[in-house]
Amino acid sequence: MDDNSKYKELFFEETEEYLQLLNDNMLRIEQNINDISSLEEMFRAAHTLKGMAATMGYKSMTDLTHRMESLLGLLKSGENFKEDNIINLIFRCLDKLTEIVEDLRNNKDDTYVKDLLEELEQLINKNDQNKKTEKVDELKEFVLSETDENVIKSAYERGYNAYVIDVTIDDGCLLKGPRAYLVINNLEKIGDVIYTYPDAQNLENGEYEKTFRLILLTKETIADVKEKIENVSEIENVNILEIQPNYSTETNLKSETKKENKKSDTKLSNNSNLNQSIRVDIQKLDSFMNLVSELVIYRTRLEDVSKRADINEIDEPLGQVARITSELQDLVLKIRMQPVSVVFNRFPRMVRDLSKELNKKISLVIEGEETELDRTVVSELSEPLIHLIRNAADHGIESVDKRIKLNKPEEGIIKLNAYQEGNRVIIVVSDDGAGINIEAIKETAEKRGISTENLSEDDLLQLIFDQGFSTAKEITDVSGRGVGMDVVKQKISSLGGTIEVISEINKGTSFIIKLPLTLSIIQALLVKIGGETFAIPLGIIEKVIKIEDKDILQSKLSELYMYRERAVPVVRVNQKLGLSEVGENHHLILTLLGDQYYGLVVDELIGQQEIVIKKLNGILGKMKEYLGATILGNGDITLILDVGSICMR
Amino acid sequence: MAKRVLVVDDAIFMRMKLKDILEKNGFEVVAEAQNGLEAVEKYKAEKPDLVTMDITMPEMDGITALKEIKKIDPNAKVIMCSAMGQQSMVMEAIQSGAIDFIVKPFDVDRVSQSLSKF
Repeated sequence: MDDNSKYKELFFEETEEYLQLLNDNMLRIEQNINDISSLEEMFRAAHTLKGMAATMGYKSMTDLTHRMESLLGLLKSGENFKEDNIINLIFRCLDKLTEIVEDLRNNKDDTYVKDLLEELEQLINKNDQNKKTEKVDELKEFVLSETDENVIKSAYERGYNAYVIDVTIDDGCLLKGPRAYLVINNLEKIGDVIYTYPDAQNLENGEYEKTFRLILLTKETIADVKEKIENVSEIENVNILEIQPNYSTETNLKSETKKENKKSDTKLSNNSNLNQSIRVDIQKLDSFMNLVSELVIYRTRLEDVSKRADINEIDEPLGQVARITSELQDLVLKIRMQPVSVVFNRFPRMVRDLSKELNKKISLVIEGEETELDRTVVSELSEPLIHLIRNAADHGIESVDKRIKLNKPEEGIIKLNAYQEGNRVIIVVSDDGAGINIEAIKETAEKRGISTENLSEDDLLQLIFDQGFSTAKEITDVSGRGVGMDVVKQKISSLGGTIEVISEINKGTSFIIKLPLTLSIIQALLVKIGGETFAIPLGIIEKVIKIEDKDILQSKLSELYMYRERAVPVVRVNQKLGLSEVGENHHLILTLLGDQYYGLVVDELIGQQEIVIKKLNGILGKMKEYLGATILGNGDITLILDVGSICMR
Repeated sequence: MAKRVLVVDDAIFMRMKLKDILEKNGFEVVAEAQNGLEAVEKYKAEKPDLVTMDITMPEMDGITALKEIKKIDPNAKVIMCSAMGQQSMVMEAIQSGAIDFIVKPFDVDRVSQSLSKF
């Protein structure tokens, strides 16, 4: 067996892209089944997937994509099918394909596809009669450019014959590309191949049905040429026709196809322009990032040294190094950026399925999908967003009847909006549905023994992020098992972000997610606690207040600090970390977690600095109190406090 | 007179299978080699009429061996044995003068058909 394992990553990555392409186009086709360009794109994608799967030796995937390709080919050629059935069938194929790919990732190549294959087979066979004409059609689209015509003319004058040759290869030929290449290679020995259809690139990739066409300029006779070609194995048929240079009638006849051909040609080249990029192994990017961060660290160290030693000579080059490293840093951050569309793209399909499943009319509006975020953030985003959208579809948007009663448009809207705001990215998931029923929350809260007396409506609303809090009356397949919102919140916090909810009865609900642009480099406040230096992410700090011990109030169970008439729990970080207390003058760092303030007591403020987060590994990695570590300008290693987990304990 | 063939493949199983097909089609297998180096040596010694050459082999791969053999004998007839997914290597082999190729897993009829041309 061939060792394909090293291509696996690439295979899956590309497959994902093609699956996405298929899904996107399918949504367009659902709107208009006659959308030929989308069909063509799907056809090509299915074909490419088939080739890739066969190469990897993935049987069920090859089988399925092969059938899909056939079906799409029929659709493309204008075959009539019952619309609903066929669209559903193709969607099911796509789902199956996703399932297969998932299984393959887990090294399982035994996904059950038999039923689906049979269904496809039936449909294809029913419409098979027209298949043959389609193939001939494929070859009819054959047009010579003026240059080619001129070449033929002048060759003809020099005593060369011009032959149009159609070569048909055997049905079971496995390597169609090399087969065609071999034919052309043989012919090149006796003349010049000046034209092929499909073009050389496609031929070499084996992207043709069974027959390809070429024009050969040679001094040999037709019989000789034929023999040369038939010397190659797996050739079913060779058809050679001599052409005279003044065959303009044919060109005229084909003028219509010519136009079409040109159109699709320009389209193709447009497409290839869009995809001018290189694939880079993400690990390489990560290590690039890491190296740049280290460079930043040593730059800071150098600056430190130069300042202390007072060496003027080094200042100027060091300034340049500083400039270059920060540009480099910017660049690597930018390279790591991915548009949120990577995640957003899958939602149109999801919402479509949800609206079918729930029997509601829902449309999804996406804005700002080009907004970029660090790829680590983007890849983690999909889970919470899926949850929010499912919730919006299930609990938010009302049934059509209810919406009519409420004088709302029949179709509910779920809106997904992303935009950048300073060094944060905001993502808003909103719907124009029922809104969150505050009374229901109150009821549930009281049932669960939470006193709601002094809580404002807004406070009550935030309760939905608490564990096990679901107000859904009936549990559906889609959502409403009471797990989720707390998980969503956790996920967002772990990405260094926050989530809020705004809701109005019968108007709708909005979830506002704020995320940092990147996770790797942050602004931090350096502080001393119990004689040790720690870093606290600046993003979560609300305010720093100088306090004395007498400012801290003692309650029965805990210590409190009054801030704007709110009692703020005081967290003695040194105790939490098992460090001794130093001095009497302290600073209180106020931080807002969710909607609750906490005050962290630290001994001394050192200053603000940009730091690079290095993940902790091994035993240290399990310590919840720390987000990671960083290396400071003087070479010292400092731990970064995870304020959230320190306060919550 | 039966055409004399050199079979090159690193897997004994494959050599057995090919030999079987070849002999059924009236060829005489005069030598076998299990890597490219051996293939070149045996080619020099036996001067066979035809060589079947596997692509992926230890010591020296099939394409290098093909090039070496072509250096010794520009008229050597070499058929490549390729697996799915080796398109580009097959192309390279054709460029280097391979006269045909057969694809693994071998289909007896198909291979016989290819061979019948030589």
